[in-house]
Order: sequence, then structure tokens, then C-alpha cells
Amino acid sequence: MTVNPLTVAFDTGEVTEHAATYAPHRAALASLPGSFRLVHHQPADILVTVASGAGWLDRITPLLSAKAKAVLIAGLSPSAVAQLAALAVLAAERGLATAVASGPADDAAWQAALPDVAGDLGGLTFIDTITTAPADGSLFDALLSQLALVESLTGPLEKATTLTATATHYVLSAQAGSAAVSLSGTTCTAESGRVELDLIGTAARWHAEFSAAIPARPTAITRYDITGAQTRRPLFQGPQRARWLRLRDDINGTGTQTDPPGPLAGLIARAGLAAEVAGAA
Amino acid sequence: MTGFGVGLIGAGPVTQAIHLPALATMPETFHIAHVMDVDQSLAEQVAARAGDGIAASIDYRRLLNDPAVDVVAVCSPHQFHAEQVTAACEAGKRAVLCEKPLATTLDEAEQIADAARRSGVPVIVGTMHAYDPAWQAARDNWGDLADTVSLVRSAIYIPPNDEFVGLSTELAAPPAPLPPPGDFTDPRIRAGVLRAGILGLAIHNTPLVRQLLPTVDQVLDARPVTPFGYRITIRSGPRTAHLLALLPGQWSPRWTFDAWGAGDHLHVEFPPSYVLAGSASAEIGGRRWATPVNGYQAEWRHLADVVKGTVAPLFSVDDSVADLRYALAIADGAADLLLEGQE
Repeated sequence: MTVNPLTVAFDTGEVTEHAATYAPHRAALASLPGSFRLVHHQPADILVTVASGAGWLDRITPLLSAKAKAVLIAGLSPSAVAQLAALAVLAAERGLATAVASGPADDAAWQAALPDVAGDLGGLTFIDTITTAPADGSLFDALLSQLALVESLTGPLEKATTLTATATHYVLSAQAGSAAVSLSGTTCTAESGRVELDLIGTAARWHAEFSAAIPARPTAITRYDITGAQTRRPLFQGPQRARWLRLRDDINGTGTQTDPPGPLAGLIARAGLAAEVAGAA
Repeated sequence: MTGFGVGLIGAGPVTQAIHLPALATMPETFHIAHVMDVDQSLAEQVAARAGDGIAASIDYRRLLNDPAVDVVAVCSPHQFHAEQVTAACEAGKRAVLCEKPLATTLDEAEQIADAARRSGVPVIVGTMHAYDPAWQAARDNWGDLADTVSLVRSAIYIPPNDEFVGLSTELAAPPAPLPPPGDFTDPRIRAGVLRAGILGLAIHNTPLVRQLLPTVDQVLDARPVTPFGYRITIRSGPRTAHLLALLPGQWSPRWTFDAWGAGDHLHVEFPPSYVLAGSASAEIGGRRWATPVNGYQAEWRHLADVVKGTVAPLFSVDDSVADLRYALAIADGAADLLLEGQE
């Protein structure tokens, strides 16, 4: 059976400003011509937007046609966090799917590893993650994607506390079951966009590295135990492409529903914390 | 006999698995002259294994009175360091290498420093990571990292020490068993575990942290973990350091030190303690350093150069006191947080 490609439109009002955010999505869509088709100046099945600015939701609402099936949030700024709840209501009223591009959490290698990683979750003592943002980059973005990564494994974190937050870095502590969670981020022009995740228990530990240079430097995920180390096979696929594939399958009803129900609820909670940290800095 | 005669106070695993093998690689510079341990049998066994005609005793004063001993290595339990290092200085030995920590209190450390200043005897603390050639090379090449650093992380995840001790030597006798950990729900026990973790494990890297975060302004978070380890976050002005450790694990070791500045990321991977197979591996700005010389050899080589008068100590006794003050500030701040009912 041939399925018509889903049509996709970018939130044109902000295309120029957010060109860098949209670029990897354009590349991902171009690699999926059988599944998606970019359209201009006409209603689309999926609207891609960067949630930014006080009037963001008002601006995109008219762009959501009656035939729209989904909204993909490719980026978020603190100024739009308060509007996410209204989008959730709107989406529920219209039966729209919502999806959030979450960086490393969307990574196909990470998604494939999640069931195995989750098997070790109960024995973890530490979950420690650090991310680097460009010198002029946003620690808000860095923390948002870092939270999404950790919570894709643990579910919502408990007792999240900001230990320190400055213009150049932050350190948060939290709890996930028996594991003490640390989330650190810093601006650094060397290796910017890199995320490291260590999951440490006495029987097994994991080390994962996600690079902004994906897919040229694919995500490396290794499990260490008494038998040695096993590194998962690298997948030369960026997180945006993996995100689009999951959205396609969810819309077509062929997915495994790997997204938690109501992805906006998780985003709202994470964005609230990230905005608080960014504000404290 | 060639080189300087070394007297070893304490003949346990550190002496047997670290210092004897390290000194054995420098026969032109050092020879073992005297081994002291409160266990006479152990002292005699270790002395006999180290060579012919090496004295063994159960009283460190006899070792200090031995004219064959030029240099003293203090490898006894922490609580004896102050008395023994002070006595070695007063005995006029040519140098003292004291295993970390230098002492258990600041008063003890000041007592050592006074003795070192009065006698002129160099006192070098065995913080092998600070002497590690790869660390030193990275430090010499890290540009403005010390000015721009914002975040430091020291992570120590290691298997049981026995594994590495067993690869470095054949112990003359099994080490004394560790005392039971006690009731971990008691904040005082937890604070004690944290203190032991800081003075026994974190102290390998706290002198390195201090080079980038010169003061401990605040301990932001402190948590001991079982079987043994900690998670501690400290602030120094606008900078933050995050210290993590867990042992023993069943996996391969990971002992790393990272520092992020505005434009550089320093990444160092240290071998586990007792491993004598080369230096750490350090990377910054696309450059990488690693050498066949390990940190233990480097500290002994440096001590020899100091005794010969060809170089000044890389770290003065005042530096070493400051290192201990730093570690104690972390330990005290961490204990305060726990006892105030942080959790």
C-alpha cells in the first residue's frame, strides 16, 4: 500500500531567525522523501515551529489548518514557555498530535539502548551528565535537552535543586529512585554541543556521548560490567531524522508510541525548571 | 650501595605495591636502607624481599637513628603522619616523602610545616597525580584555562584496590580488614564516611582542583554513598567543582579529571592507584600527553632532584598545608551539611 507523504510547513514568520534550528530538520526531511513533502503557502499536515516570543501561539494558530495533524516544536525560548499550556489545550481540542524535538533524547541509538539501560536503572548510584554550549549559546537550551535525555530514562525527576547557576554554567541535583542525579552545563567553544551521560552502579555502568557533529560523529553508548565493555553499534543518523520517523509512525498509527502521553506536559515541566535556572543566572 | 638510602615507615600495601616497585626502577638514585612496621614479622619480610642486609625494626625512631637512611617515606596510617614526619625533620634527614594526607588536622599540618622550616628538610606529599608527567605537561600548556575555568569535575569509579595491588606485588601479608561501616542512617556515621572519602580518596585530586578553584567558599552539596563514595559540589567564587566517587565496582575503572573554560576543555584519564604502567593521559586543545613514567616515579625523581639541590620543590610545605586546609574545608563543609540535616 502506498501512503501519501505527509506535508510539512515551517513556521514561516520566524524562518530567518531560526534558520539554524530548522536546518537539520530540513536535512532530515530531505532524506525522507517517501514520507514527507515540504509545502509552502498552503495548509500542511505538520507545522514545524520554534516557540519563541510573547505572541508566538497567536501567530501560529492561523497556520494550523483544519487538516493539520501535528505540531512539531523544534525549539523553545523562555519567553514562550507560558504559552505551552495553551497549545496543549488547543491541540486537545483539535485532535492534534504534538511532538518535541529533544536533541539527544531523540537519538536513535539512545532510543534503541533505552530498554537495556532501563534494566540497570534500579542498581544505579549516580546519574551524572554534563553538556557544553557554545560561548554565545543558550544554557536554557542545553539544560532543556539534558533534562529530556535523563527523563527519557527515568521519568520525571524528583527533588530537582539548583546548586549553582551563573552566566557560564549550572549544576543541578535531583533524585531518580535510588540514584543521585547531577546535571551540569557550561559554555565552552571547544566541543560545544556535546553531552556526556554516565550511569553508575556497582554491577554495571554506562557511558554515553552525544556530539553536536552527529551524524559525522555518531553517538557512542557503552555498557561496562564484570565481563568487560560492550559498545553499541553506531548509527549514522541524527536525532532530528529519528524524531521525524517516530512522528511519521505515530501519525500513521504504526509506531510503538515511544513518546510518553502528552509530550507537552513533560516539556512544560522541563522548560519551567530550565527557565528558572536561566533566570537565576 | 648507590644513591640515597630510603627508610620506609609502614610496610603495608602502599609500601609494598607502590613505593618498592617504583624505587626499584631507580637503582642509580635510591636503595632501600631500612623498613619499619609495628608488625615485626611484616617489617622483616618486606625488608628481606627488598634486598640483602636491609634493616628492619618496629620503632620508627630506630629507623630515624639509622645513618644509612637519607630519605624517609612515611607510609603509616594517617593519624601517625604528623608525629613521624616531624621527627624525621628533627632528625635532620635529607627529605621526607609523606603519603597523603599530610596530616589529619590543620594543627598537625602546621606542626609539620614548622619542623620542616626549622630543619630545612624538604617535605613532599605523595600526591602522585600532581606530579604525573601528563598532568604537568597539560598544566604547562593550558594557556588561560586557570583564568577562564568555570566548571571542574573529578570522577573516580574504581574496582577493589586488591585487583591492582595484586598486579603490582605479592603482598607479604594480607592487609588488615576494614572496619564495618556502621549505621548509615546515622548522620554522624555518614559524615565520618564522607570525611574518610575526602581524606582518603578525593585527596588524590583535590590539589589539582585547588589549582583551578583556589578556595572553598561553600560546599553546595554533599552525599556519601554505599559501598563507598561520595558526591560533593563546591563553589569557589564564580567557579564550581563537582566531585564524584564510587567503589568498589565490578567494571573497568574510570578515573577522570575535566575542566571547562571559555575556550578549552581539559580531559585527563588517570590510571587507578597501584598501577605502575605509565602516566595519565591528558588532552587539551587537540594536544595529548602520555609518558611511560608514572606519577609515583615522577614524585620520587623530583624528590631526588630536590635533595641534590638541582630544583626547588614543585610544591612547598606551605603548598602542602594549603592543600590539606582545602581538603579539610571540603570535609568540614560536607559534614556540616549532613549534620544540619541536608537530606
